[in-house]
Amino acid sequence: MAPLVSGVAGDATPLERALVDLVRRAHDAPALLTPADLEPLHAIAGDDALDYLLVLCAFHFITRIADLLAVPPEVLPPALRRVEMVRRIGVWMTSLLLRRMDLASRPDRASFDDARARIEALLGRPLGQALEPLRARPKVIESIGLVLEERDRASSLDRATLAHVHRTVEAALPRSAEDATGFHARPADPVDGFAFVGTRYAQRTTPESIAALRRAGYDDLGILDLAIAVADANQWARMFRLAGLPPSLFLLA
Amino acid sequence: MRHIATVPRAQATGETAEVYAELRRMSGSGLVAQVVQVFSLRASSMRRMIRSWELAMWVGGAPRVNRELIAAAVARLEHCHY
Repeated sequence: MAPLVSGVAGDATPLERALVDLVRRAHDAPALLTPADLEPLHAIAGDDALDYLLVLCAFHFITRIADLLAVPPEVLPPALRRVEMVRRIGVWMTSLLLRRMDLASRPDRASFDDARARIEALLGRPLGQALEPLRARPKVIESIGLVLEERDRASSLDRATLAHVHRTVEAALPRSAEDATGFHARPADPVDGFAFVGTRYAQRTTPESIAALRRAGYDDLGILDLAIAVADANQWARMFRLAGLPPSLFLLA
Repeated sequence: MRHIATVPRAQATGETAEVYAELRRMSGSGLVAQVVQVFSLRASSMRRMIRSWELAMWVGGAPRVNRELIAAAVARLEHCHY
């Protein structure tokens, strides 16, 4: 993995290089992504590029949830992974766990028209051609529908707070690798700070930042909903730019 | 140490217990990923997480190995501890 991500793997296939190049661009400068960044992958993988786009966005969601909420690792804590022999044992144990899962592919049963109709019902307005870039993979539209349902039907946060989180995430989105890895002044407001760190380097979230949210009135469910809002805004930031979708499908202005 | 409380499967009742059962059916195993359990304060959000995970990693014909490559590369670049 390390040589692939670093771009020095001599035996990587063109598809593997295209996948990792896209992942790197989506990490280093997501604010600058455009549909043209998906083109090299589309040229190699065809419509499977949309499957890979969904994975990329889903893991920008999952990694943020894990880091913002300090979700414990499944097998080995990070400190123990630094010991090579222990790390190898951890990889072996993880493979045993994965072997117990059903990893076979499943068919995408949704139709484009049904998936689009569900989104239109959620938003209460027709979408015209807005979702055409996803026609080949209705499951991506279903995934967007789940994000909208979370925002509109599940979250305990009011619309003003959600809109504020969306604006903070969009403003904090890295435009360079330095933005994504360097050290920067954090907003003093606890919600702004949570969204800023969660967008640029969620692994730096501290117990103190969670304590600040509690002092501001957020309980466990409120903190979960803030983490979901930050993580969803981050996956949407990549999705709408790479797929060429209207930002306003999800972002509350 | 997780920053928020969760409802472990053994203590789950009602809709939350049903969603844990859905996770078992989806993954084909009794394993409960910690990143799914963290949503357990609200059953609908846990159900959303499970379906999103399934759509990304199981549904469609793109090879699993390429999906895992993307997941691992994102986690590595993000320095995700999980």
